Parts: sequence; structure tokens; C-alpha cells
Amino acid sequence: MSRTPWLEVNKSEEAVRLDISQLCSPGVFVELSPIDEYYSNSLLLLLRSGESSFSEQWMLRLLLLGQVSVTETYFRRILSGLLNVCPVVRRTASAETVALGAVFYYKSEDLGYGLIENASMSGVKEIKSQTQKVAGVAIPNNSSISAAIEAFDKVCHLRHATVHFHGELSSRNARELGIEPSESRAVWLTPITFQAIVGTCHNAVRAYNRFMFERVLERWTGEGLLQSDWNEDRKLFRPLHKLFYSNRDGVGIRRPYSAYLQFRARVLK
Amino acid sequence: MAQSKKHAAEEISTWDVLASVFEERAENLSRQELEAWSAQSPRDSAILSKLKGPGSKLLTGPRGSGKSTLLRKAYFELLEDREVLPAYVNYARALALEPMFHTHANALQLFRQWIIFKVIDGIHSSVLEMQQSAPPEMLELANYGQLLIRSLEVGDPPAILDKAVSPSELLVLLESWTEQLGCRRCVLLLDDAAHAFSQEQQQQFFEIFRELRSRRVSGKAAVYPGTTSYSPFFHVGHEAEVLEAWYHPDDDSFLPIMRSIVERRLTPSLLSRLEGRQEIIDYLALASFGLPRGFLNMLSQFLGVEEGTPVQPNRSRAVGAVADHAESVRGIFLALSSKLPRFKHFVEVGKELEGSVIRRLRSYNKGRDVKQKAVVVAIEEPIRTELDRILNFLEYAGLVRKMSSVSRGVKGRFQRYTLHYAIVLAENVLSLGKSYTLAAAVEALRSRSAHAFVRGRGETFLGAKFAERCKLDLPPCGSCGAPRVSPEQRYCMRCGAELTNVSIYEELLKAPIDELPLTKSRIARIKAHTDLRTMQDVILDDELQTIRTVPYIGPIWASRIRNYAQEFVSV
Repeated sequence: MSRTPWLEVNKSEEAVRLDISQLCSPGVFVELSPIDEYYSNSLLLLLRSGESSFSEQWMLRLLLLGQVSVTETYFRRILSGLLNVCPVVRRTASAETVALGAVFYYKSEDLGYGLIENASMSGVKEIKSQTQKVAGVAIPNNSSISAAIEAFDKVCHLRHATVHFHGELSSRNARELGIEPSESRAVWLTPITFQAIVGTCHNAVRAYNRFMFERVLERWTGEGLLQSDWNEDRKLFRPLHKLFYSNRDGVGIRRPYSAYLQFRARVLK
Repeated sequence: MAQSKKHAAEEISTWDVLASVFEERAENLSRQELEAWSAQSPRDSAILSKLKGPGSKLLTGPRGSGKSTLLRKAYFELLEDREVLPAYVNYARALALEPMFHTHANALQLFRQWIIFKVIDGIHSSVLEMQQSAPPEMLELANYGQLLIRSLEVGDPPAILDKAVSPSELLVLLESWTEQLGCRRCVLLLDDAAHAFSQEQQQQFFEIFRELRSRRVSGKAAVYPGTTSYSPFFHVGHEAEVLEAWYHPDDDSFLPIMRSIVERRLTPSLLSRLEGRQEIIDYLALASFGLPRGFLNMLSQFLGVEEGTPVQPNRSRAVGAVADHAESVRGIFLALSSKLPRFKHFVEVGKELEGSVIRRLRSYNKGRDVKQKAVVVAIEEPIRTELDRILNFLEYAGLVRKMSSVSRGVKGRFQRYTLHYAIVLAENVLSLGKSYTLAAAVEALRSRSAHAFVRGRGETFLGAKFAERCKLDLPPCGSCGAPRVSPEQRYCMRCGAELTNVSIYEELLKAPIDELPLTKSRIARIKAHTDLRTMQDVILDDELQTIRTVPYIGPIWASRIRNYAQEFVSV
């Protein structure tokens, strides 16, 4: 049974009601490849960082959280998307379990999210393990992709400090960031250093995007899933190209058919 | 017709052989040529002794000061010695790896491995030269390393680095191999070290250099003055002793050394044309400002080797050679606009500084006795950051030579710089009148006052607001034209577009051949007879076939021209 406090030190708590229905709205479907969706969301944050109203530390730290969030979202979109377009990934992931609730909650084409909804994608270990678990792809050490993701890992430590300690780095954060543990440090951002963070995230996304696209094609080629005939292969190739191609970057070949012809000439022969 | 063709071919052959005599780059000389053609002063012997001995050393000097000659000589002497395991490694191709930084996230890691495997490859080459059997591990690493080095230098890095050797692992390997081969010590002679202009790459290099030392292993690195960035943990002087390769033209031994180079290199027929003309040799030697490469360049031009036909050596040709050399030294400085495009305005202000210094010195020297003339400018300390950077660039190019600073009591402390003697002579800075003899010019340079200088603050030479002109040249946003606010900026503040950072190396490859250090007539001939237009065209000219179709360009000149192009895009 409760009793009257012996001494008051602050105002008393009260009954509060959080109306969740006021705080959520239906999700918005985005008709962009995951990398282009990432670019689009990141751009909004980038433009805010240049505004004078966002020059205060806590504002820039919020943008940092947003930037890591959109990067994590990219990884989730790609892995979930691969479950829809790659039979090999479907085969690999078919041994994994999904909560029953996820089956009711997600549409069938988004069920991949159910597979990874409890996993964090904010760190090199997590990205590597989820990529292995869901897609069956190992990210090799001593490669451009691993260097890009390792750099993103550092950004994640900054985000961790921002979320959990109002910007102050824990000893683990400091160790992972290679900071001498002689004094405590905090995250300190400027619009220019925020751009460096965005650049690091862009790098991780680009490296991962290129790497996964090539690995999937490599596997399809190795397993004889492609017949060197567009009429047969387009069922696989077109959705894969659509999943990975960046219209914003505009490099390579935009049209799936033309891209397929080049791939066929160079690889399938 | 057949007779005249044969005659032309013979002429090319004769002049090509002569051109080889004037080959300036030590890396391109054979061991015998190096030993026969380069002179050695007591000072050189002292430096060589330090290069062959224990302890880390930094050999500093601008282009053409003899750093490579000293390193190569040290290498050959150690090979001969057999008690020390040497390795000569040339890092001039560092800039070829720069495009990788625009395409690979692990470029820095790959760059580190390039540095390390070049050492392993160098050690392996030495073992072969010593006609010894390479330990199996060395052979395996050297074979892997050669493939890796090649793939990195042609812009085709491996997707995964199968083998990676850390600096500490390399040190252990070097010590083990030294012992296995029965040597007392291992000396690494690292040429063109840290010449890549990326600060990050330079710092990487010095971090590795710092670790490659022990009781048995020591490294000696050739660096440029003024523009080398050391890592935060590398303390020059403490971590490595600094040795200056640059001859002092004021030293009593300088002219005898230069005369000795002439006697060693030139054939009797060429020497006979210089008989009784010692003042010309001295004039050109002083004009070289202590840089043997410049001396050989001017001598070659003076004797008409470039033109391929016999010429009459006279005062006018000597003066012309010095004037051309002054232009080529300036050219190295001005080329920094291409190699470091963001410092374009600094280079422009540097050019103004040179002009202002020349005018002030000329005015100072007018009417003064020969023993009172000055060739030194003193800038009052503290020197503004912008001016300091410009002076570093001028020092790198060899246009000025930094001396010790002096105090003038209440008037302040001044940092002194000597102006390149080719410029001093070409611009008549000594105010010797209209038609002075070469002997008078030599006398003026030799007997000028060592203490005289013109002095002032940066503003004295460049005007009150010069610092405002020293702005980094940062191209605006390609999408909306918004200006950049910081060199570290990656995205436009206004529209968010990515700001492009082009690969310097790829831009240098596209540079026109007009920027090669060749006479206008030679360049015109190349353009008239071939479709070689850019540095890349020259470098990729397979077996030098295209360039050799140009009249009066034989195999040696063709090779030299390609070296010039490679040098242009290398450093």
C-alpha cells in the first residue's frame, strides 16, 4: 500500500494519456528504388543542415539521427526487396522464422521486413550478419565494401552517443572511434562535418548497392538461372535492375533491357 | 635521296648519343654511367656515409638537387659492400593511385599496401642483384607484390586484398631476411617519397616510415622542402635526421664540383669546344643554383644538343640557356596551378611576389659596389599563413631557397630566402648594366655580400590586402552555381547537389603537350608530324613508335620526352 512521501523533492507525476492514433498515419508507398529513396530522404536532411535555424548542436544531432535512420532504412529495403526478386535469397531465408504477428501485419511482398524487424542495421556487425542470414552473402574483409561499412559503423557510434547520452560518448564509443580515453568527449557537429557524415553514409549505401547487385548476378550466373534469352531472363533481371538502379546517379544503363544486353555480352556470352 | 636519308639517320644517332650524356635523371642512368658521370665532393661523401649508415634520415631538396643520385649511389655502394642489405624504392608513381581514392572506400588501405609491397619488391631486386637466393617467403610476397603494384598503378585495384602486411610485420620480415642473408643491417632508400600532394597519403607514408626502424633496419626518404606533410606523430629532427641534398652555390667547393661533372660527362670533342671558356661553365653552374639537373639542362642547350646540329657556343647562347632555364623553374612553380587547382590564386600571388622581389632587389643593387649587392629577401616574422604557404610552394619549386632567420633587434626578426640564380641573372637583378661579361656576372655572384638583403613584411611586397587575394579556388556548385564556403564542403548548401572533386591525376593526363619542358620548335614538330596532343597520348605511345616518326627524335630523345610526360603526371 502506498503512503504519503516523507519529503517532497519534485512535482508529483500525474495520469497522462497518449493517444497513439494521433501519432501515427498510414505508411506512404514510395515508387523509387531503395537507393533513390535514401538519396531523397538524405537530401532533405542535408538541406536543413545548411539553414541557420539548424545551426545549434541539438538540431544538428537530430539530423545525425535522421541520417543514420534513412541509411538503416536503405539496408532494410534492399534485404526485403531481395526476398521478392531473388530465388536464391528466398531459398536461403526460407529457414528463418518470422513472428506470426508479422505475417498478419505486413503485406506479402513486404514480409521480408518481418524477418529483420528486430534486427538493428546500425553497425558493421549487424549489417554483415543480416546480409549473411537473409541473403546468404558474406561481405569480405579487406575490400572496398567492408571499408565503407566500417566507416559507417563509426557514424553509428556517434548516433548511439546522441540517442542514449545526449551526445556524450561512452567508453565503448570512444574505443570504437579510436579516441584516446584520457578525457570524456561529446559529439560536436557543424554543417560541414555533418556533410562528412552524409558522405560516409552515401559511401556505405553505394558500396553495398553495387556489391549486392553484382553478387546476386554472379550467383544467378553460377547457378545457371539465366538462359541468355531476354524473354526468359527478364522475369528475374528486370525487377533486380529496378531494385538496384539509381536514376539519381544516372550512371550505367537506365533501361533494364539495354543493361541486360550489355551484361549478356560481357558475362553470359 | 637515299644518301640524304642515311645522313639524317646518322645525325640522329650522333645527337641521340650526345643527348644521353645530358640525361639528367639519376634513375635513368645505369650504374656505370652514374659512377662515371657524377662527381663527388667531401660533402657528398659525408651525406653518402649517413645514407648508408644506421638511423632514419630525411634527404631534402627540390627537383634536380641530386637526391636520387645520392640514394642510387648509396644503393650501389651497399650492394658492393655486401654487409648491408639495401633496397632502392622509387615512389614517383604515387599519383597514379590517386584516381582509386575516387572509386574505392579502402583506397587508403590499398595505398599503404602499395608502399609496403614496393619495399618488399625492392629488397627482392637487391637479393637478385647480389646473386643470392631469396628466402621462400620473400619470393612469395615479392611475386604477389609485383602483381598488386602493377594492378594499383594501372588503376585496376583488386576487389579483395588477399594478403596484407602491416608495417610491424614488414619490420619483422626485414630483420629476419637480413639475418638469413648474412647481413648486419638493412637500409631502405626510399626515393620520391611522400611526393603525392594528398596530405593524407603523405601522412600514411610517414606513419609507415616511422615504424620501419630498429637496431638492424633503417629508412632514408627523399622529400621535397616546403610541401611535405608529416603525420601528427612524426617529429622531424627527432624521428629522423634531416640531410640537405642541395649544393650551396656559395660554397668554395661548388664550382670545382660542377667543372668536374663537365669533365666526367662530356666527350673530348665537346670538351674542346669549351676550352678556354671556363667562365661559361661557371656562369651556367651558378645559374643552376646548386641543382645539377638544371646545370646539365643548360649545358645541353648551350651546346645545341637539342637542335641536332653543331652550333657555335657563345655568350648569347649561354645567356639564352639561362633565360630558358629561369622560365622552366618558373614553369614548375606555375604548374602547381594544375596540380593543386584549389591553390591557383596562391600561385598567382606567388608570381606577383617574385616580380616584386626582383624589382626591389634590382633597385637595391643599382649603383652598389659588386661586394654590396644582394640576392636575398627577408620577410618579417611572424609570416601570415597565406604568405607562408606561397613561400613553401616557391621553395618546393626551387625558385627560392630558405635560409636561417635573422634578428634585427627592435626592427624585428626576418626569415631569409635566396632567389634562384638563373632568375637573378636572367632578370639582371644584380643591376650589372646592359652588356656585362659572363665573367663579371660570375664575379658579382661570387663576391656579393652574404649579409645584404632587402626586407619587409608581406604587405611591403604584395600590398596591404594581399591576403584577400589568397583565396582557395573552389569551383561553385555545378548545378545551381552557389559558391562553396569551405574546402571540406561536399554538397551544395543551397541545392544539396554533390560537389565534384575530379581526380588530379586524370586531369594531369589530359594536359596538353605544350606544358612539356621542350623548346617550342620541338613541340611544333611533334604536333606537325603526329597526333600526340596530351600527356596521356605520349605515355601510351606503344614502344615510342609514334614519337619516333618526328624528325630529329631518335630513341633516346623519345624516351626522354616520355620521361618528361611521366614526370609531369607523377609528381
